Amino acid sequence: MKKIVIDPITRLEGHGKILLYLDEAGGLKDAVLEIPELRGFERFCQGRRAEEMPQITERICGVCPEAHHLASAKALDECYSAEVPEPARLQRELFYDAYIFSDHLLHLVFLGGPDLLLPQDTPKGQRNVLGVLQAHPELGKQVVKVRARAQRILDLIGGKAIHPVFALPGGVAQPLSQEAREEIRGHAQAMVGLAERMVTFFHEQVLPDPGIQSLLLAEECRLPTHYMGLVDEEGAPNFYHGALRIVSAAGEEIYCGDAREALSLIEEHTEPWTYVKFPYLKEFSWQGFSAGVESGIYRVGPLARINVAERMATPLAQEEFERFFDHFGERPVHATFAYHWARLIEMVQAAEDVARLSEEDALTGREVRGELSSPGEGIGVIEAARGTLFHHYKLSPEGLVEFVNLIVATTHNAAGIGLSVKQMAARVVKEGELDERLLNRVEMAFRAYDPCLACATHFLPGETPLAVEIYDAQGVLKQRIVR
Amino acid sequence: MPKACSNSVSCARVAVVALGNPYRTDDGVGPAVLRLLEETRHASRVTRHEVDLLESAHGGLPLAQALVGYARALIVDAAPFLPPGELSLLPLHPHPNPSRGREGCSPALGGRGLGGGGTMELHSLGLAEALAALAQAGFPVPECWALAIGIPGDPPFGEGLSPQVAAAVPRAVEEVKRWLTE
Repeated sequence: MKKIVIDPITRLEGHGKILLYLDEAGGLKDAVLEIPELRGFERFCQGRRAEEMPQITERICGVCPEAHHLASAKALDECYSAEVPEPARLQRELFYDAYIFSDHLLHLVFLGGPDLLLPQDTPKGQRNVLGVLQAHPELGKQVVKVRARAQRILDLIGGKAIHPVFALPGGVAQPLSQEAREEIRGHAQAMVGLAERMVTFFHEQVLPDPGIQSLLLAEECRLPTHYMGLVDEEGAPNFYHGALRIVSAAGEEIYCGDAREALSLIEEHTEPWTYVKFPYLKEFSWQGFSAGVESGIYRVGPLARINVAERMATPLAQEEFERFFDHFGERPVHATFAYHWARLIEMVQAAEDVARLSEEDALTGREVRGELSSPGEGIGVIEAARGTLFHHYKLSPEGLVEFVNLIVATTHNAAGIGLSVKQMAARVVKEGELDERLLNRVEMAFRAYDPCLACATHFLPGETPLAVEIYDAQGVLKQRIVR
Repeated sequence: MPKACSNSVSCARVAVVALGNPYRTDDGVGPAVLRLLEETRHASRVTRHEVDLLESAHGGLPLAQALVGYARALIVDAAPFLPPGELSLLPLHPHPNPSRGREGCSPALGGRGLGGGGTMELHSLGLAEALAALAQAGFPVPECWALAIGIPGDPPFGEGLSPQVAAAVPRAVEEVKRWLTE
């Protein structure tokens, strides 16, 4: 059996790899995703003071420190049975919406953007952020400018735009000033304006493209799984808090309730070839790496949140939500490439929500810290940009960390990503060959999820190179593509 | 405390940015250099004024955006591809033609793209490439350099630096000061 390895080499965490196994005829036999493991993290946290956790955990991920910061703070709220005062909750939620907006915008336009905004067979050298800027210069400039405004909101509330330090057990560090609120209002209007423009752009210049239509509607890009995400009382996605809803591949509600209880619904499957655990819904038992209503495999992230939602929380997002389901004519939508469109809908809601929250009277209230009780056990659940994130802690009576368990979005999606890659690889890999153009197609399946493999903070050596290795049936390396 | 890198308006024209996780032993050498710089900044003519000392968790485009408006920037980061404790000052000048490939890469980095000859792949946007993109979009980006500090590969979770890497910190601080005076 031949093996192809697509290896996004991370600098410190080992390798995140896509492994493609070929049969003797050169067709695809199997595909799996290996994601890095945080070795030793739990042991490092044991014995540390609980209030350090929001700062420690945000450092493990250079991509979404905001999500870890608030998930950690929420877990500590529960550990200390603390009621978070309304002004503090509003600060956290506004901060978090600004993060979701900023993160989704970055992916939509610059990271996953070339898959959406450039023709599919754009030459390798132009299939990048510069290519996007050359093709859409005005939009690109606007995106950079408005994203900076969202970052400024993170700075105003978070205290540090890139390492937020504001959330504490039971609340936040300080009240928000009236001046900061005024500034946020201005940024929010710019964010909503860009969100509207992005929607128009998407419908006028992206969606009509036959290549995009093919990816959205092709049967081999469709992966029926269950879906998981947080929703508010009205059934709209909420990134910061809410009930956890799980919807089956057939669209039936499996669970809707306390997000903290949901951990008891999940089992983790292990394989001998990887340290990575594959979560699945316990009631279905493990059916192997297969999709469908009988399988326990579920997905999280933008598409999952849109699929578990009854509606959106804001008007413009609601309009787009309705267009989304009208387009596909099914619910839930199983098209993996619909992750991008779902990301756009969520970005719109996040922008509108920042604007709404910036008008809340209580936002600048002075009471920002709830009373803490004796330390105990707590689970913090939040929707990171890439999906549901769990932080589970147990504290000693002295307030020291005794137990830590994190389940991150890419872990939830690990099985689904592997299946999507397999679908795409089966479509494009013929006779063991995988050239640059076809390799990009395989990567597109991976990128739709916006998976996060970055658990350390770096830019050196400056890129995340990809290595593709093709082995023959005897395990001898026959071809290697590095880029 | 060094302040965080952000898009907030700064009067400073020069930035020194540390990357790295201080909870992963030698990986935190960048922040360690920044702390020593911070401690000594008032005693030093070159770091006293008009230099922002920043920490960042992000690389790539988010970091490049945070550097818009500065005239010069120096990134201090751990480098597992260098012998532990070894320093290397490297230019991060954006290459005008990203499709050119890797011939412009710094040999010190084993041709891995830091020097600006990167291939600009998706999800792998290096800082040099991100700066090039912003420059093309009309944003004022800084002349950017990197001070790479060699560390052993795959540092474990923990606090503090190994003796070999810790010994490089004062030398790195001197290197930063020298760069500031150029």
